[in-house]
Amino acid sequence: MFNNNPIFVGLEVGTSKVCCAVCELVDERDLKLLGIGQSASHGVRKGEIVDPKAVEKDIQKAISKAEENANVRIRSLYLGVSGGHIRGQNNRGRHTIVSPTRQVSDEDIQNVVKNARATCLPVENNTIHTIRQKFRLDGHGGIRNPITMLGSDLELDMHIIHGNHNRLQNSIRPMKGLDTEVEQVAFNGLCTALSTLDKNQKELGALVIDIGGGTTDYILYHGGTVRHSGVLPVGGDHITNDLAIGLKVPLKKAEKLKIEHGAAVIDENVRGREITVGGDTLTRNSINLEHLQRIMSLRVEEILELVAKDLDEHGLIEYLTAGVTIAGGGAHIPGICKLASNIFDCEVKKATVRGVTGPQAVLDKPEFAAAFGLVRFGSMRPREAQIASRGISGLVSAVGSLFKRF
Amino acid sequence: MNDDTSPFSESSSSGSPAEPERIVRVFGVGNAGCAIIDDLIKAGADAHGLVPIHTDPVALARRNYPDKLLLESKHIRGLGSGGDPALAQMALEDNADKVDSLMIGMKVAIIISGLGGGTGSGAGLALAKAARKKGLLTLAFVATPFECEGDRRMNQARASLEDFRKACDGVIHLPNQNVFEMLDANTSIRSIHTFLNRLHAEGISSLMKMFSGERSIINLTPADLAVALKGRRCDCRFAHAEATGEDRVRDAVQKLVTHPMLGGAEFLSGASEFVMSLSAGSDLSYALVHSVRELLLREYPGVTLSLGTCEDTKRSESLGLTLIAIRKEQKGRRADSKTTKTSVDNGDSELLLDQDAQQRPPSQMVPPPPELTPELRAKLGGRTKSNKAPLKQASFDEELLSKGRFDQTEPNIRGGEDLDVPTYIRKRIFLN
Repeated sequence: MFNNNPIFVGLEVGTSKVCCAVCELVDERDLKLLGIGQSASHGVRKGEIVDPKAVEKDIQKAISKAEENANVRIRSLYLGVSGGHIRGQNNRGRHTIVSPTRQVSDEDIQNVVKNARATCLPVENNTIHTIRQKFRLDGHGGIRNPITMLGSDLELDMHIIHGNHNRLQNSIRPMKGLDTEVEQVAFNGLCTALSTLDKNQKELGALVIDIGGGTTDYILYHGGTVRHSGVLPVGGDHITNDLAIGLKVPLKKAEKLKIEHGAAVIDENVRGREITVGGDTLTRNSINLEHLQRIMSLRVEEILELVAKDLDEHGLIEYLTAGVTIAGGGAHIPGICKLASNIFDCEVKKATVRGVTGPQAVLDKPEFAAAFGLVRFGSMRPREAQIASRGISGLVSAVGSLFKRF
Repeated sequence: MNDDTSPFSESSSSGSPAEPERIVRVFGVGNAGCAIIDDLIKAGADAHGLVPIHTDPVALARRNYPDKLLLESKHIRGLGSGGDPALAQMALEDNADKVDSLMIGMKVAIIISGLGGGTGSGAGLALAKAARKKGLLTLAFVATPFECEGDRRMNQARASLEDFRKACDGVIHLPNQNVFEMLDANTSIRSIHTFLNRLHAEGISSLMKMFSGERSIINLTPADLAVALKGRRCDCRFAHAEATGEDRVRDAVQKLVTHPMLGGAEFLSGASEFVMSLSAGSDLSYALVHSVRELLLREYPGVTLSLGTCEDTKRSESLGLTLIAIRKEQKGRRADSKTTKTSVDNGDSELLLDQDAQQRPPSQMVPPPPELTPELRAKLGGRTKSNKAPLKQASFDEELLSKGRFDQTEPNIRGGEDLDVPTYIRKRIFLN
């Protein structure tokens, strides 16, 4: 019980729920689930905090539940961020090798990494992640580690995920009132991919779409590295809202209808079918199921098509050899895999968490993928960085601190 | 000679039964109607043709007319109508026999009333119906209230204006609100009302002079006006302008077309018919009539102009113009009026000229333009401004799209669409 295995905590503050996952790292490789804490979220809209006080309360609730379940006192954690302001972009850095031997040294690598990170971000934006893609040496691509190779011109492609500084800070701020430090922030979409994709899928090319309550985060892996990422500030809340407007029912009832009768493709059996929902006399009691599914399928289809369009614009739609993984609460929508496989023209499946041991029922829940991913993200950080960051004030170091290993 | 200027003089002054009898009866209904007929007397009309009608005994008691009608009814118990048209209508119906007796021998009933209140709207409308029933040609001059009098009065006035249009042969609408284009809004209410009543009275009396046929050279009868005004959906405006001096023709026409009561160029350019009464002194000549017609038609080439004249011995070197502009809600009116005009052309030109050339109006003499004094320039400057329809900025109806719970959040614009708006609304898919 009292072993010295390091414990990692991931906290995802979502639009519909706050989720805190606690895992211990066994043998520096495997994660073991210790406990999970959940709470409904009240102060988040479209992935961003609109009511810090409410969020603080929800976070506290989720953390204390997780502490209770895992028998762990949580001192520091990894926080997931999302929101419409987050963007992913690729950047190429160049460095000329000056040593007379023309052999690539550690110093050269550091230089090219520095150059690749130097990109023209908007002034108010901060880098969240910089992810190495592939090196190129004298125009030859696909090099993973060029150390000791010979050449004169070293290039590095880097994927940079960045977001608005103030809005990122706003996500971290509710943590200030709690006695838990934020070790690092991470992009939810990236974390979902970390917990759900295996090495093979990352190599072949796989897309992860995390349809949450307020945002849809997506990230494309290919060749073992991140090729593209993005956030669509549209999620399950929008479906609920569409239903509330279209069917003229209150939001609460719309949410219930969505969960009970929603579908991503219109079921042939519901044509012309009406259902009666219990309620007071003021609200409509009879709901046309076909309308419900049509409104919902249009929205879901649009979300997926917007993601597909974005990939297409970057010329990446053909890179989905290993298929698409759908995570988040949106993965529960019946028929969404079928709809997505029509849109992306490849195999689509629901996300399950990999590389974590624990009750399968929990690991199979696609909505927990991001929280487990945060844990995975934390466990992947080099030991030294973890120790170092504990000394510094979490809030300042969390955003903008550099991180390179994936 | 004083008697001669009055439209109803023949019968009243001589008293001889052989004289042409009075055929026009003017009813002033309600406060506004009574006030306007008071002004008609000041403008030179004979009290014998005028009948004030009111529900309020106090208002009638201080008026001295040979015929006046107090609407006594058990419904109103000697009080006013209290702004209720239904009450006033019942009151008039209760006094039907008195009304009928006033209409005996009459051919035309002119009803003047202010809409929005009780008596003007209710009794006026009932009176119009009664007159129509008796076979009289019924014309109504109705004033609509000021905007500041409130929505209730305004809505009531609009409704009863429609009713009047259905009930009368012709309705001439006098919007009070337009007076602010002539007077400053800070003018006292009393003087605004005095001004308005005088304005209406001048116009009505000049029309009546012409209708009386007494000194008219080119005749225009109430029937002409009724024909012009016929049609339920016609909107008409009415204005009177006077001018003296050398340039009276140009001045008077200018005053008339820029007259706020006519609603400016916006209304006039849409008008299909003008009915005009021209009154001048002994200098009334065809040249004068022609130049008035020419000036008007040059500005508004498509309209049909019916013009009547009457000689007013009191005038010298002065010209009075009363214009009723009628806009009918029908399509292709311009084309109609043009074909009637071109039908005069003879067939010979058809062989030589194409269709368009046929419609070219012939050149005609016009009076020379006046010298451009600084005041005149300022006036012309003002005119061009008033002639323009006000520009309005176009706007999109974005508010129509509902965003529900995301109403107050930052918009989610992608590819020109706000993703917070339900997809089915943006894609215009209808649920049925």
